[in-house]
Amino acid sequence: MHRPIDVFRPFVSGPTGRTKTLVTAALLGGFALLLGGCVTATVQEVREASTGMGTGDSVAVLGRAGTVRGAETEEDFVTCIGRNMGGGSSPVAVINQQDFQDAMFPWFEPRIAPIATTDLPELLSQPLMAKRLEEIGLRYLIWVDGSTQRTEESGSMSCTITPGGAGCFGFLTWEHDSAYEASVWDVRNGRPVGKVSSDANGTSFMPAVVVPIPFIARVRAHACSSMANQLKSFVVDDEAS
Amino acid sequence: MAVPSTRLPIPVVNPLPVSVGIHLSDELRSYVHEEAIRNTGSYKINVGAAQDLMFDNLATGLFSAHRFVATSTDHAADLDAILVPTINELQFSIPKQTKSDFFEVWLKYNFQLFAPDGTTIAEWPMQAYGRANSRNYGFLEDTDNGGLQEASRVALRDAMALFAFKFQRVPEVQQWLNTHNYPRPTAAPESVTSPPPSQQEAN
Repeated sequence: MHRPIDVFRPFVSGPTGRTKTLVTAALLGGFALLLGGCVTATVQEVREASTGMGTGDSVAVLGRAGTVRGAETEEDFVTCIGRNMGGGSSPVAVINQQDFQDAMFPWFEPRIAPIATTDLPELLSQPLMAKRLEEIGLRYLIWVDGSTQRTEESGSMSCTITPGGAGCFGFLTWEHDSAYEASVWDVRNGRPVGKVSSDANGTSFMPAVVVPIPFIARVRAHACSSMANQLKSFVVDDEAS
Repeated sequence: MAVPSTRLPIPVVNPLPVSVGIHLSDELRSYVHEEAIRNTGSYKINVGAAQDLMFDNLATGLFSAHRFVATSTDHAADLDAILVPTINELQFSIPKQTKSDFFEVWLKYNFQLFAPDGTTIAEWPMQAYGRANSRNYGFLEDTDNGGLQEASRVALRDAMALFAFKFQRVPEVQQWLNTHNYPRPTAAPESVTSPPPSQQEAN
């Protein structure tokens, strides 16, 4: 099965994902009732300078990129931060990572992007960069570093299918640990204004007596929402207003 | 201003004061890599279809003027040189092979730059790299095709980015640019990160 060629994108065809989709859809149907596990989240803020958003100002949220396998921030976490900052009460204008990379191409591509925020002043002060940043109305650049790791897992479960029916028995548990830090850079004044960090961990478990019932701890989602809310109030500077 | 969202964007760099003809061969424009992976299936990656857009946008940002030419010897008075890119090789890996979360694509280009009299000004290779994290795809998404497509797109962007930075740093190109009163390269990173070795290089 080949996909139509999109001139903007390389075209790839491979084994169809339909079989996998059907199996996973069936599994999801069976486990429609997803219950929540326990999550503990801590958010900390360090402010170095006052902040504020004017009319037409926007923020861009970028994740750490890299060519070393595993050294990058998950794309969906960065997207989640941007989506949460741009929604809810008192939303701020957010330029998503892809649009920002396109607008500043090629300076924020994975193999070229600055590795640390300390490299930003030299890059952003170049006349071409400064002009483009002014055009897109960027006020703050938020640089997110970190990841979510599965730290522990234990337990066992066995499932049996017989002509008379099917069932599972056992208990599984696993733990996820999230650690993220967002550095906020004031593009207009060319200096860092602070950091927001979010740590979250949670245990998921799945007991099974005939039917397995998963209790999923949404660790990354908690880390995202708590960090996004804190970042939103940080750039708007709720305390100062 | 609305943020442009084209997937292979025009680079934000100072254009070089030269007019360059670009010759894309039929072979390059129709470049397709096909490979079968044991116990997984066959894959077909078509990067040829993106070459026109890629080099058009690249040259729009990098050169003060450019146009596509039919042959590498099609020298006209308005051109300072002709650029001829070729793809020597494409390699890829999927998470099942590397026991990692990543789809990876390595794209090996070769570039030739010809003077108006047909002599070679410079010739240099370039390896672009792209990867996509399988964890960025949802439970119900077609991860294999989506991941490889994204890794290929990132490799094409990487090729554009590397070309934009490295072109004026190729010693023979630098020498040629001096004859066009180009003072010195645009400010750019001193170095770019090297990609991990491909499967063949690692073995």
